[in-house]
Order: sequence, then structure tokens, then C-alpha cells
Amino acid sequence: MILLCGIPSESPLQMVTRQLEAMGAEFVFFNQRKFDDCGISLDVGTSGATGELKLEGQRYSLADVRGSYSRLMDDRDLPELQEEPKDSERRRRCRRLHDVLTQWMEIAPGCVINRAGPMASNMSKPYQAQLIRECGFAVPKTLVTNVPELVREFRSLHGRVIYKSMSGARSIVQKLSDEDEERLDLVRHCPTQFQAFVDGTNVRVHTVGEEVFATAIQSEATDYRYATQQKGKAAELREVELSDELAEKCVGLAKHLGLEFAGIDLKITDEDEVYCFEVNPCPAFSYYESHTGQGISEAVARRLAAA
Amino acid sequence: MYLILCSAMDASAQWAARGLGDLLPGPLELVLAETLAEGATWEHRVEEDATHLKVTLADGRVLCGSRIKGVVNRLMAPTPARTQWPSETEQAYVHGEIHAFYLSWLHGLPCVMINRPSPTCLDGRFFRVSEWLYRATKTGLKIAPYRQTDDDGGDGYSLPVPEGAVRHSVVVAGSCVFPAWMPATVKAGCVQLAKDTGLELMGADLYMDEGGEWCFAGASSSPDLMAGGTPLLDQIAAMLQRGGGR
Repeated sequence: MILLCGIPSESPLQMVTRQLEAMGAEFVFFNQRKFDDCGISLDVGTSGATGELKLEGQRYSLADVRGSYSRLMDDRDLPELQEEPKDSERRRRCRRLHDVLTQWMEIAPGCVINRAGPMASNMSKPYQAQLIRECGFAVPKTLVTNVPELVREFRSLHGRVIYKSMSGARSIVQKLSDEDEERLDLVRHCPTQFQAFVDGTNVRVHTVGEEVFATAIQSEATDYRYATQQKGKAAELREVELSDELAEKCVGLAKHLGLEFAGIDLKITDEDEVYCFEVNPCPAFSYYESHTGQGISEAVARRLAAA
Repeated sequence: MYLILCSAMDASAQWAARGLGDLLPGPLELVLAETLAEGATWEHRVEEDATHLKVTLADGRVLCGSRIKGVVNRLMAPTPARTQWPSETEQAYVHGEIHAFYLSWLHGLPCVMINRPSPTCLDGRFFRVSEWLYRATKTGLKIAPYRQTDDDGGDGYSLPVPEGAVRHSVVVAGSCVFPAWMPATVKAGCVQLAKDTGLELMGADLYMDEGGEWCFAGASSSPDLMAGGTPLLDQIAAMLQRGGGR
């Protein structure tokens, strides 16, 4: 049996659900918004991790779950809890439910897309960059500092420099401008990450186990996710094929990070140098699939069903 | 230069710093999390083939990544600076940034480090009780059946020992267990658990059940070093000098 977790109307989950239905796979859905009607018990003993999951009145043995795909939103932000006092029992029970479910996924046998431990490498981009480098990818020259003079020096050395958050917090990648330099003293309050700009073509690679889907993105924006905001024109996406060597490297990188499913952000220069910026452990692949028709959701469904 | 990184509250690490000073061939610096948080200037570079770190502390000491030979890392989390941020959201953002930064520079130090950081815990590995127990069973350590549900009040962070049972703590350092009087099978299980979880230094809690068998009751990557006494310090000094950094 396959377990899907999250909000059923969310695009990536919706796409995987359709694929599982089409292939006739047995699956159940933990709909977070119906947490009041769900429950879990987790048992750890000499025979491993077992237990029971209750989903909208039906009971399932955790031992029967061979594949899980989780896109849980932060349960504290669920609309159903908006009016709930901070310390209410309903809120606490909802938290415990998600917490125990996540704990089980860490130790569950079979295929889990993805476990929380391996996903955590994305909590620090410069840390993850070091892991990426270990897999043979080039990474952009990066400076993290709270010394404005060092930033100026870095900019004069590299010319075009960008800055972005280090943590998992979503931020819009920005070019360091002359105006930014005027407020550089602010970095004294918090070390900030700067990177040499790398020119080239953005390529998003999704790996699902051994399967590889590459999408080239054409955009003039510094951060193509915000192309309309930054350049007034949406990014253009098209399917591309990677060399066998690069495809293998991407699969190897995802494995190195312990990810069954990964969204790898590459930039390929005119000299064919391949830079890797980041690996997203919970990729919102629907954006790429809906523009290119690539079978990413089908591959995810296949991976879950094969477990 | 050798480093001990810990918080001002970590009496155990500060005790170790006093003892290790005489056991190591080079200078040992005790650097507190609070010192790192206030007035230090940071330069951390991730290059194409190497990672660099230079920290100048407010007291004038300079820590240069390439000159550090070994680290005892007890930094559980960065100490927040005293800066007042306009909102809780900004405060949380900065906290996330600093944590991400510490993880990166600690990971980038090429020397031997006891313990190396992970994304979930700066001084080693953090697991919930369920995962520690699950991992313990894989090493042959005995555990009592454990249950956690959405209905019970258990937090999943701590495991109470049965009423009347006495909790014993051991410290694993490399392939040695302190104190040494534990049965060989229990020591082997603890050493294997530390190895499986990538910890050079691990504390394990055990208790004797009604049948007279030792049961595993939890572990941590920041054990009380004083419990291991001078023999533990000798072992840590040996591990630091053995090298084997990345």
C-alpha cells in the first residue's frame, strides 16, 4: 500500500494521485485538513517499527505501507486551526499526530519520498554546497561574512555578485547593486551570503531514483521563479537531454544526500561547465511538468508502487 | 591549535578543557558560544576546491580553519546575539540564517572533529526516542517496547525508565566505553550505535530490567564528560592527535 500525505488539491500531490489511479495502485491519503478524524500509534520493539494509522475512520497497519510520499504543510498553519487558541488540546493533538507520523517515516521500511533527516541538508545552502562539491559539481564562489569591506572586495573581484538566504527560508535571489553597497553596513548584524554570478543556462533536473528529467529555463531574470516580477516576462521551459555522464552525476548526488526524489538546480555555462546551486528535497515539480509534459509524476508514482 | 567549542553553561566541557590542556601537544583554546555571538568578525568562503574560515573574536583571538588541528565540538546551537530585531519573524529568520552559517563553517573545518555537525544538531546527531530505540535494536542492544500515539502526552524526546530502575550513563569515545565495567555485549552495542550514527563521542543511558538485563534508554551527542573521568580525557586527547579529519 502507498501512503500520500498533505493536501489533496496541491498540484504535485494531485498529479501523483492521478498517476497512481491510472496504474491501479493501492493507495490511501492522509489529508491534513481532516486531522480530527485521523490518528496514529507507533510501536518500536525488537521486530522494528510497527503501528496503526487511522484515516477518516478506516484503520491501516503501518506494516502494510511500502511507499510514502509526503508533502506535509506546517500543521500549525492549517486553516482548520486558525481560530484555535495556541495551547488548545485540539492543536496539541494535531501537532502530535504529525510528529508521530514524521517519526515513523524516519524509520519506516520501504520507499519514503523523502525522509526528514536527509531533507535537512537544504537547511543550509553553503553546507549543502560542500556536499554537492564532493559529488564532482562546480559550486559558485561563495563568501559569508559580516565585514562590509570583504563584500566590496569580493564584488570588485567578481564583478557580478548575487546575495540570497543561507537557510531554508525562501528568498528571492538578488544582484548586489551600487544601491545595495550603500547599505552594506547592515551585514554587521548578521553574516550574509554572497556569490559570484555564474552566467549560463538554468537547468532544473529532477531525479526519481535512477530516472532523470531535465528542463532548461530561458529567462533574463536573476531568479527565474520570479521572472515576471523581475523582467516582466515569464520564463520559458523546455525539455532537454543530459549527457549520460551528467545524468549519472545527478543520480549520484541525490543518492549521496539520501534523497529518493530531488530537484537539482544546475547552471551550464557556454564553456559547458556545470555548476550546481542547490538540491531541493521537496521539489514542486508540477511547474516543470505542466510546461513540458515530462513524466515526473508518473516516475514518482512508479517508484512508490515498485517499493 | 586545538579548540573546545561549548556554551558558558557547559561545565562538563570546561572541565575537559582544563584537563586536556596538559594532554595535547599544542595550545588549546576554549571558545564559548557566547563569545562567537558577540562582536566576532567572520570570513567564511566556499571555493571550488576548498572551504575556508577566519574568525576574529572580540577579545582579539583569531581562529583560522587551516591552523586548527582538532576540535571538541559541543556547540548544540548558536547563542543568539543581543541584537533586538523589529519582529518575531525577523528574529526567526536571523536565527535560521545563523544556524545555517554555523553548520557550514563547522562542516568545512578539515581537521578531526569530535563530533562533526549535522543539519539536525550542530554537535552531532539528534534523533527522537523512537529512532534511537529503533537504531539501538539494530546493534543488538535490548530495549523495552515503546509506544507513542497522537493521544498520549509523551513528547518523544525523553524515555522514562521503569519505576525503581536506576539509570546508568556511559560515554562512548571512539571504540572505548567509560566506565569500562559494563558487560562486553552492551559495550559493543553502544560502540556500534555511535559508529552507525556517525558520532565519535556519544552518551548512552541504560538501566537494568527486572530480569537483570541491561536495556537501552536513550542517547545524546553531548554526554557529561566528567562521568568518564581522566581515562576519557586521555582517550579524547588520543583521538584528537590521531588526526583523520576530512
